[in-house]
Amino acid sequence: MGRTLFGHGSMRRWRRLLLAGLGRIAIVVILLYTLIPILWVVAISFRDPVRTMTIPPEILVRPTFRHYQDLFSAVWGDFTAYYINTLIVCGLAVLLSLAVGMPAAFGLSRDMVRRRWSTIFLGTMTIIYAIPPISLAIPFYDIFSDLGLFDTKTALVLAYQSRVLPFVVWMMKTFFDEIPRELDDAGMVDGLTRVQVAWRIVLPLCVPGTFATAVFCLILVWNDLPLALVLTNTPRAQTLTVGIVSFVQENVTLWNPMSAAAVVALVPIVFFVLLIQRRLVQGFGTGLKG
Amino acid sequence: MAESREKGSQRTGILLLLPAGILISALMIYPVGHMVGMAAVQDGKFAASRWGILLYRDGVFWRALWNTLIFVVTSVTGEMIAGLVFALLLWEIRGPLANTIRGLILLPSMLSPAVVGIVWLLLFYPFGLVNWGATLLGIGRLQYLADPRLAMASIVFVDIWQWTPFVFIFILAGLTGMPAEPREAALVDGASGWQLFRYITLPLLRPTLAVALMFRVIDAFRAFDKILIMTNGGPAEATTILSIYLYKVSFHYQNWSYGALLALVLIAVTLVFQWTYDTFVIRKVA
Repeated sequence: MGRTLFGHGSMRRWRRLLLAGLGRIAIVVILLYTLIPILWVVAISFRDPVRTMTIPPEILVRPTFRHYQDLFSAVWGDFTAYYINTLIVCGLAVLLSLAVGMPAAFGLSRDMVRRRWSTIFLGTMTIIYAIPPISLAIPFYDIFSDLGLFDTKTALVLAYQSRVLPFVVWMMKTFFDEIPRELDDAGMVDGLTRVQVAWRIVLPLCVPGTFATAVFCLILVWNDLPLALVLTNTPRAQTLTVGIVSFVQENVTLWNPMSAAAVVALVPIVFFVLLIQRRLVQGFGTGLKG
Repeated sequence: MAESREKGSQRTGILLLLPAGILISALMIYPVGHMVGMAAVQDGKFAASRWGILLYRDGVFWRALWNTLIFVVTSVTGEMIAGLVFALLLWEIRGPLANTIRGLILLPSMLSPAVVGIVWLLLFYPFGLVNWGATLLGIGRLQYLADPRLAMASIVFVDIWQWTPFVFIFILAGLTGMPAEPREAALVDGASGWQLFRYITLPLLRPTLAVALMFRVIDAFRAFDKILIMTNGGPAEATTILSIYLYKVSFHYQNWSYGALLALVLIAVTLVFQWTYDTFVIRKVA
């Protein structure tokens, strides 16, 4: 029935217009569903406490920056320290995982070890990826306390390798796999060693992929709570998410500073996402399937 | 000559993999072994049998295990369906804003679960935005996080809100990489929109869906931060999943040995799923 009705030329055009219109509406609805909760938290963070939980909710209120000032002048826990700790831990954890993971990914991509070994290696990575971090946090707590590393950024940087290293190996291996081996062979004919080939020929071609991998790992570390929650207990090493959780657990209804804390943690993520937006779909498609 | 070169390449390969291998052994394999030791021995005495009996009799443990399964199954199902719908609706977006729109839609999946917890704590507050909308619709004010009958459903909803975009982007990548010929051929043969979806698009998408599902389930077993912030496992253990329970046993009640056993149970559940799924689903479709 539908086919005969819409089968003719002009009807078909109408139908297409209608579908395009519905598509637009769907985009708007999905964007609202996604963004309103986030925007609401942003709005609350700029609001006077008495204008926060009003019924009906007020949309436009004169903004105040007080909550952000409070946050960074350590009224509710030392957020300046949390921020700096998070930046340091994220940077070092990502650098370490790239430094260790990329050579491994190249070796695996070029079949430079026996098949049995590469299967074991990749299998272990898959298992480690599946282990929930909160379970690993328990032995980590014990081990790092024994080593005198409890409540240090070093412990966090090391512990986070369990989260990011499998990612680096998988993603970089797929990016390396995309570079044709004929290039390697050409380089080796010219007298370069394998490592020189990797460094001078393959790596420069994988810069965008490496960048996307780094940003993915950065987001992963930035967002973590369980490991940091368990392995730190003072502003010496506590990260942003830990600061947020202890804030929430101590002051359940201080909505405005709580929102400001959430916004402070989410702004860099927005920035990261925009940085790699063009590669997002690709990154998910190729990187994760590995 | 070729053989020695082959050997040299092997040696370089081992050197390339060595740092990562050491790091994995020291930071992942050793800790898991250490955890088995923690669960088996307490204060120098063998404790595994005691913990085994306790585990069997521990009502909260069984509740937490059940809650974990409920949470994983319902939230991942919701995410897969919603993600597929999003992807089919937004497949065709083109133009200069397309990447930005995708980036914005992906935002919840990129946020820290801790931040998402705060977002929804605020919205679910008895005098918050959700209840205001609900009263407008005539539903009335509900205690979304404090009512034992609603708390798990609310947590599942928030998880779906956060992770649908991830599934969406994943499926979108699959759709984009899909060959156009089968669809075109079916269109020429006069297939309807539904037939096209049911007999062409969906079968071609099956490997993508299978992989997305695996990532989501593994990640759902990890869920922790949001629940810690929004309900802390309550009310009346209604949202206590295994990760929350083992955290409390270890770090609040300081029973490290039993906590380690619970952690091993969570790891075992995750790995059993991963292995089964990988063997019986991924190998078949992907």
